[in-house]
This record gives sequence, C-alpha cells and structure tokens, in this order.
Amino acid sequence: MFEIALILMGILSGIFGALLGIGGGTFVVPLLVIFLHYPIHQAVAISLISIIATSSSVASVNVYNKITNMRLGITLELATTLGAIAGSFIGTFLKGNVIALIFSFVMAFIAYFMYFHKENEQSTSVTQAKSVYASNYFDYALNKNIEYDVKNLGAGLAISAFAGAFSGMLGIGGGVLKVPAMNAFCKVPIKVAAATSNFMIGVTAAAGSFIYFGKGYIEKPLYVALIVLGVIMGSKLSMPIIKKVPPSRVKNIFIIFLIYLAIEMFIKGVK
Amino acid sequence: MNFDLNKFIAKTLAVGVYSSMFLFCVAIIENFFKKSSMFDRSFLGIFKGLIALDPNSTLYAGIVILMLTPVVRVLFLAIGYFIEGDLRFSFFSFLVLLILIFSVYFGVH
Repeated sequence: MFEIALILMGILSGIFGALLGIGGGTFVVPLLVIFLHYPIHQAVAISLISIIATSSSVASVNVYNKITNMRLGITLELATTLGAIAGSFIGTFLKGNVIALIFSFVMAFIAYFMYFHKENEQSTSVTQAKSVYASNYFDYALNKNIEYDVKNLGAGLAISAFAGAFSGMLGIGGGVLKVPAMNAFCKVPIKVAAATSNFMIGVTAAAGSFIYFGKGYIEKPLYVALIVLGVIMGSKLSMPIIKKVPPSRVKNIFIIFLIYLAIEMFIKGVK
Repeated sequence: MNFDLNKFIAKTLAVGVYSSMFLFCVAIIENFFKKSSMFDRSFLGIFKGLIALDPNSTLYAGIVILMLTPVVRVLFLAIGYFIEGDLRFSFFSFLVLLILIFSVYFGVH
C-alpha cells in the first residue's frame, strides 16, 4: 500500500511540476514529508535523484533540438555545482524542522513569484559584436529562427550559485530562480533559458545527491525507484494534459496548493 | 565524419536515464521472487549483487547510474569541445568535472 502511495506521489509531483513549469522536485519533498511523514533529509535525497531523472530525460530532447545553450549551461554550472555542494553540506547538518521552515518560506516565495511574474519575450539582438555565447534556435511556435546573445554573465553566475545552494539544501531544482534570472538579466529568450536551466539542474542535483548518498540518506532504494518512476510517468502524462488544458488556466489552483504546502511545512517546522 | 556534439550529449543523457529505469523495473520484478541479502554499498559490492540478481543491489546500481549520468555528460562535453577545438569550454567542462569528483569524494568519505 505504501509502495502504491509512493508511485502516486511521484506521478502527482511530475504532473504538478510540469504544469507549473518548475519541475517535479518542488513537490516531492513536501508531499513525502506532509502526507507520508517521511524524514526530511531522506525526502531531499529522493527528490534530488528524481530531479536528475526528469532533468536528463527532458534535456536529451532539448539538446538534440539545439534549444539548450550548452556553452552558457557549462559556464553557469561552475557556480551552481559549488553552490549545490555547499548547500548539501549545510542541509545535512541542519535539523529537519529548520529545513522544513526554510522550505516553507521558499515555497511561499515561489507561489508569490509564479503569481506576479511576467516573462520577458525580448532577447538581445546580435547585429553588433557577438559574444562566445551568442547562438540561435528554431522556434516552432513562431516558425522562425531566433538569434540571441547573452549579457550580464556575472549576475547569471551569482544567481546560479544561490539556486545551487537551495537545490542542495532543499532538494529542489532551482529552475524557478535560474529561468527568470537568465531571461531578465542575461537577456536569453525564455525557451532557451528554460532548456538551459533544465540542462544544468541535472548536474546541480547530482553534485548534491553524492553528499546525501555518502551520508547514508538513501536507505530504501525501492522507495527511490518508485518515486523516480512515478515522477517520470507524471511528467510524460502531463504532456497530453498541457495540450488540452493550458497551464495558465490551472496555474492559480496550483499556486493555492503551493501555499497550502508552505503552511503545512511551516507547521512541521515549528512543532 | 561530422561530429555532432548535441546529438552525442542527447544520446548520453537518454542512455543514462533509460538504463537506470530498466534496472529499476528489473529490481521490482526481482523483489517478487527473492528477498535482498545485501549489504555492501561499495561500488564493487553493488556490482557483485547486480550479477547475483539481488534486488537492492540492482536498485542501487540504477541509482548510481542515474547519479553518474550528469557526470559522464560533463566528461563527454569536455572531450567533445576539445575535439571541436573549443578549448575554453573544454576547460570549463573539465573544471565542472573536477567539482563533481570533489563531491563524489566527499560523498564516499
């Protein structure tokens, strides 16, 4: 019965994450902790493994279609992996209730951000001198080739390090920070920002997961497998759902759910 | 022969994910037939258990393959950029690889 509950949690996390565009990891930890009373450090470890699976699965498609800017990705990974290692070390030393409290604040921030954020569709033109990060991709929705360049790499590196630290500490992907940052500061088109962030998230989660693995937080490998298989199934199931129900229409329902999870995590934290 | 780094990296990621998913499914089937008698969680122990069709060893093998997939992707990116003559990004990839090896080292110890 518990095993079936784990697969269902994974499927729900995968669907919710894909519909909100923030990855399944954001939901894995609170669902495991709140509904299955799972120890938070083990939940973070499972979440990081599931993030590697979803990120690698989606990234393989985006890299193949040349939407991902791999040069930008590998540069920002320098900062995000160091952040993830630092965050994982801090996370394994913090008490569970402290992590629950930090998680509740981060979820509240994500909910606030999701509600007010407007995507910047403008990208930097490359008519003048190109940087080594300048690239292009074919936008099937617009049916044209989009050229762009990357600006303010320093801001991108700083936010990537910050996002990596939160990823290692809380078992979330951190895309919710990286995608808007790349879009707003680095002037990268939103589709490229999302694909590049996803590309980086696998490496960030891997850096963190080795620390949790070594400290023995992956005690029940069957539970990890069931959650990972569930999240992968959920993210695949979300594709036909997205085609029928535009994410913008269900966004507010999920934001309310995020706030509910944030409150529950806060209560867990102060108990 | 034209070397397409994007296609190579995309295939690396897909092979990593599907191999671990395959092992997870095999382990779930193994679970119905035998109880796990593991436990040596070293890489060698996991490999021996995998050969002996031990469910927990098979699950751990899937988890380790999944965790190593991004590491192998960074290694192949370093080699791929080097082949393309793009030394700057080959160097950056190599640095990321060193950071990941640092993480593996501290994870194991």
